[in-house]
Amino acid sequence: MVNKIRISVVVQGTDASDLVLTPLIFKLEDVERARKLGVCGILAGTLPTAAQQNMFLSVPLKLMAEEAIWLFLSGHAEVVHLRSPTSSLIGNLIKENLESLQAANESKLQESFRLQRQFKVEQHRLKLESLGRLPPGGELPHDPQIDSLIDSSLFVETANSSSILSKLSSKQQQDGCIDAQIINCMIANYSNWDNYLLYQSLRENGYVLSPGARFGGLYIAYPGDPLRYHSHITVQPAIDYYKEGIDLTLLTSGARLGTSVKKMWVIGGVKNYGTKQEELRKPKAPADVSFFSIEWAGFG
Amino acid sequence: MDPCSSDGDDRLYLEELVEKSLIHLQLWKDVVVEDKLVVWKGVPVRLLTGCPPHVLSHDEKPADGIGREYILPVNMTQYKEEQVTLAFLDIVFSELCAKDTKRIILAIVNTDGTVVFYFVYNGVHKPKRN
Repeated sequence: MVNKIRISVVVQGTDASDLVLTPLIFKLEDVERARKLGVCGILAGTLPTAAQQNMFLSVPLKLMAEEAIWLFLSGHAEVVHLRSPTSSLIGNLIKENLESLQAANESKLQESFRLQRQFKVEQHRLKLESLGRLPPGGELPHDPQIDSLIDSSLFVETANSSSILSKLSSKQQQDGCIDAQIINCMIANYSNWDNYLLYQSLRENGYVLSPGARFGGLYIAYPGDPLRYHSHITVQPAIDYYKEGIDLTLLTSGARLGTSVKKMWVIGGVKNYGTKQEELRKPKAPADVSFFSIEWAGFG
Repeated sequence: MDPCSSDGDDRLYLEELVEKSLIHLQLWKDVVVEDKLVVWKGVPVRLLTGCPPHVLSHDEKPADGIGREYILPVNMTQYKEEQVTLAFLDIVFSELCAKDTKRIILAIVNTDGTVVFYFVYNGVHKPKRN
């Protein structure tokens, strides 16, 4: 089974209302795989061999929220919460899980004692064998003095934040529900679901999308990989298909810009949403998105 | 333009202005107001059709020559209920145009009487080659 692409989400902010979530990909193989799937992202890390420039950057790859959501919903990626030690969310998580963490700590310590005792008893037995005081493969006689000596030499690992955080992270990942929580948070905080449906619809038609702020839009769309093609579409934020009129001043300014950068000004809206999503799984009936492409007619 | 006039009159004004602009300023031929109409938010909407003096975009197959174009006049100012929603555009394409029409021309009338023209393609389309 091929491992899924791992998306690490950095969570900043303390309140549920002012959270900033940044999806990142750290592994180079995952960056390659994402690109093959049509998710390009933007490299955001400093290049260690040339740290004083920012033309050429390294991992992590920063994704748009729509890209992270698309990768997750199409089953190609798993989402992991990137631990930032200063995040107060960690403090809350530790408080919530205090009892279970203490119990886990205690059982881990006892297990470590058991293994150490087993090891030391076996070492003692081998020593006696080598000294000839015990026949080979012989049983060690039960000696309380030896036992108490062994007990006093056991190594006790005191609980520390590294071990707690690693236990916490493995416990959270086992739960599996953290993926859905982060995705819900990302959708609520970043863009509205209509914009995601625009993204998904264009992806289904084979376009690769990147952030479009440079060209006055939400996304720019390439008919294939950005290194092979020029983009010829600037996609605007979604509007309500039934109720919202196209702002004609925005239309004229956007289309004029489109003429000079050789791009169509594309506006879209969701005609119908398909079946309601109870959980974050693929909807049974696909959403129907309507697009119109606008450009200056060249006269008038 | 009188903002207090009824909406039907306003549509007539727009149609007339765009027709004159196309014939006399842009030198189009055979410009007519189509009979088919659709009522949108209580306002009767009709298209104009006409032939431009030269080929407007080089995507069109040369064998067709200069085809007839559909023109939809709208107001730039938005203090009327007439709004260009996506649903409205879909209705224009399906009810007022011939089947398989790829584009219409949106003629936006400004308060100073000038008109600007924009292609509106149904769906995602490539920009025209210059």
